[in-house]
Amino acid sequence: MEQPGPTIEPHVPGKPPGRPPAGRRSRGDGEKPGRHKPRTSATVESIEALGTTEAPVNKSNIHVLTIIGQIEGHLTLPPQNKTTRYEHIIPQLVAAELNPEIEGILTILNTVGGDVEAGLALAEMMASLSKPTVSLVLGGGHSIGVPIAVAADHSFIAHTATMTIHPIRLSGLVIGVPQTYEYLDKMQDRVVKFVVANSRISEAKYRELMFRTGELARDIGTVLVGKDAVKVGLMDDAGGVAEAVAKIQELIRHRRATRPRPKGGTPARGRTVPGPRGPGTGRPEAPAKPGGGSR
Amino acid sequence: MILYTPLSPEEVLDGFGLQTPRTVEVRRGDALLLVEDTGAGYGRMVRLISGNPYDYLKPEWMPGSAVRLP
Repeated sequence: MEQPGPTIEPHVPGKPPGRPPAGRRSRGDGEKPGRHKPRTSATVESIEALGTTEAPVNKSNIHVLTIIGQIEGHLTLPPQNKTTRYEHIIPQLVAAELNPEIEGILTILNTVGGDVEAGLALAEMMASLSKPTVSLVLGGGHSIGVPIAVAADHSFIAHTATMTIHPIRLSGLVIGVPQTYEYLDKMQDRVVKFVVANSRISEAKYRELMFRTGELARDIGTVLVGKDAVKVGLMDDAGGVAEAVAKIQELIRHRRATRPRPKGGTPARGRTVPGPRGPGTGRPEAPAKPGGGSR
Repeated sequence: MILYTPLSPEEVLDGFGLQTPRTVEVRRGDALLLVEDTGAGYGRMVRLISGNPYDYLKPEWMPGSAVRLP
């Protein structure tokens, strides 16, 4: 015997069950009846064409930048290189600085170095942001990755990550005149001065690490592993993602407390916290380290 | 170009000058997208050129994302 059950409307694709057709229903939002037409959104297009759907967007107040592979400069590198291009990163940093919804920038590095000009451009951009910045070196932050890593207000290095400190080289056609050496020396000074100004390491120590012999097989210089980079004053703490996120949230809270956001406007400009980071550096210091992160 | 990397120049520069990038320009509003044509009416985002900094935070215009060609 057939039992009378709940009435279930057959589901028609594109029509929500239990509702009148969209064309006959007044939507109450100013749309005229009978003028509803199917929309082809970007999501629908990507489902149709690529079989992919977008993950739900959960906006964060932290902008994450990943610096991976080679830092690519004015010349496009061959395709076997994974590269980070400055024309991709620099406008993002400008947008992050301008966007009032972004309160901090977290930089994740796993880079093998690259173009000096491009690397220093990225490092200078990060150092000049008014919003709190935290960097985390995972895997490696070699050569020109060092200035980018220390450009942040607070820098972390994973316990097994490495940073190679070595002299810069000139590739391509080299004209054998004294000016070539002077130019190369000047380029190296740019890197050294930036690193010294944005970290706790002294210039003498950095140069000593850079010209040390007996550590690298094919070059002079030093490889710093995890806490070694903290000990010499290059990085601020050893730690991972959890420590880096906790630190940037702490810096954001500190910034909110010290510089309340003006109503209906973008946050006031300027550095997060006044005061030098090191003697004569002109760089501000993040709030006192919580002591976390180091094992 | 000064490469500051522990890798040797041979490793980094192998094949330099052999690539032939084929990008097309796609205009979306005020933004110009440089897209590598991957066929079937779609391309891979290579570079965004825009005066609006917020365009650079759009996930659909991040480098490597799929872009429908006009």
